[in-house]
Amino acid sequence: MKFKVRFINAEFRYGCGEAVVIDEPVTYLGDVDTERGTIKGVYVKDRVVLLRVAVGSTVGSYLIYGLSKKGFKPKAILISKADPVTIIGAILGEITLAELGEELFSKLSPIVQGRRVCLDPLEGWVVVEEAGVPHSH
Amino acid sequence: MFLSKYEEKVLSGYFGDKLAKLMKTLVKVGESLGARELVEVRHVHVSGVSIFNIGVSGAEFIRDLADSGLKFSVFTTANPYSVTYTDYLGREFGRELKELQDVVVSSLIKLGVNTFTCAPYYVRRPNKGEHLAWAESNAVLYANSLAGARTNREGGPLTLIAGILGRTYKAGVHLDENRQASVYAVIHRPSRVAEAAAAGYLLGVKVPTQVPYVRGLGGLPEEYLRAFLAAYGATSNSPLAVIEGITPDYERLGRKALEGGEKVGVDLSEVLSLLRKSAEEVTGRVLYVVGCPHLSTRELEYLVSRILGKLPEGVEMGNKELWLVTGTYVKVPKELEGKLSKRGVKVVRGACPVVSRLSALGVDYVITDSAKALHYLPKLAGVKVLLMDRGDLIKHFMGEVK
Repeated sequence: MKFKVRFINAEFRYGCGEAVVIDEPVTYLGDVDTERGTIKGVYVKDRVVLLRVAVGSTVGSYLIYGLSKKGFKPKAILISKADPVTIIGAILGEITLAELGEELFSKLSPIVQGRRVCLDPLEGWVVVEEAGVPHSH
Repeated sequence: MFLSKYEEKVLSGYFGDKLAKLMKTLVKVGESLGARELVEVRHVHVSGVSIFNIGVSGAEFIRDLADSGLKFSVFTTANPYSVTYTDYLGREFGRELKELQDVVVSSLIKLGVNTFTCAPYYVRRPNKGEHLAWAESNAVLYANSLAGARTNREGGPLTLIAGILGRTYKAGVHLDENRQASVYAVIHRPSRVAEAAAAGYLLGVKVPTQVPYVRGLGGLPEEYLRAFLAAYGATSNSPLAVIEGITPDYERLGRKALEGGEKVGVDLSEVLSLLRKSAEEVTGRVLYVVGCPHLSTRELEYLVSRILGKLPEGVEMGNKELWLVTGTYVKVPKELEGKLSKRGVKVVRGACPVVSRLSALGVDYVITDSAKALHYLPKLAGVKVLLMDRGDLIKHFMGEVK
């Protein structure tokens, strides 16, 4: 499955990672653990994190940046609706960020957990590989 | 994005690489949010000051910026730091944390900050229509919803950039079309401040991303509105709530929501269930916190006179303290500080217990009148929390005097 999305920040030409979905609204301050590399308890390093929405504290940008600084940089964050806190955090943390829109997020969130997702920021594509297909590098 | 000649010059490196890099970041954020130009701002408010929130990597980021020699070019205030300068029942944080917090505070002062508070509107009240770059959700909601000024809910590091460049991107609620409410929210009219706070908390859960038109708060005093907005800001990410009868131009901003917006309600039973928890379960060492967001000078004076009028000096308070929390804009005479401390009361200035790991100071339970604090304390401070109306809280604090 291949979808056209809007990339806000791109840190590579092409990259893949295992998808993890965080469906509940995230308050980075309190939900991000920069010592363990988790958001709401979900380990994010090298993963493609689908995140519905970020709410609450404006300090959040530092926590996204902190994930990166501490060596837990996600492969990418795919958010349903991008907000200023997430955007500046991703830019400073050098994390690839794309906005999916509500419709696409709702379509993907129930099916992508654990699957391999590849991103092409230059062309603006997100490709979700079929479940059960062995990873090829 | 369309840039002025001066902005183009900054971007091109005419004023140096450091400024160019900041401008590049600002433009990138702006473009990704659909901005077509930048806008000059009158006042910047920085968030991300507590060492417990931003960690070592955040502290280093701010220190590097300050060490680069750049300065804020517009009036800039900053959020409170953590309570590393305050003791609780004689317990203090360790030296390492204090030093890290000092790095952040001294770096911000070096950049040009002169006031630390989460209530920058008490330092300089924004004017209607004025453009700002504020972080700190309660302040953003106050500026947009009560003063009619314009600011997005900026991320902490972006405010540092905005302070230096004196500009932010012109998108979001800087533009008229994004100030229109799209959800119609009916709130059961609160009869106490804590009810207003609880209602804001619940509205944020129900409307986390859209601008609501709020009915039920018209004519209420500012302390109700501030408590409502602060709590709403903790559970939502909206920079603006259009409050009927209060927000400048509310009729125009609410038209769309009233005509065909989704309708939500916050009723009394929900509010009361958030406030229902009984004080009987409070055990261990208790900290009473009033001042989230920071108290105004008037609120503080009222509380101090009430406490001094009721509590005799040298009374045995046992395992509890009351912290009245406010900004560095308040001056407290040494003599008054002494009088209060003999009654287990501290005026905490420029700092914030909610963004501090209170469990490390030995606090077991916090009793507060702030629904914002209720939201953040268990996660950030590692303590149990009870929400109580301010009047009851003060009575509870004084009432258990033996």
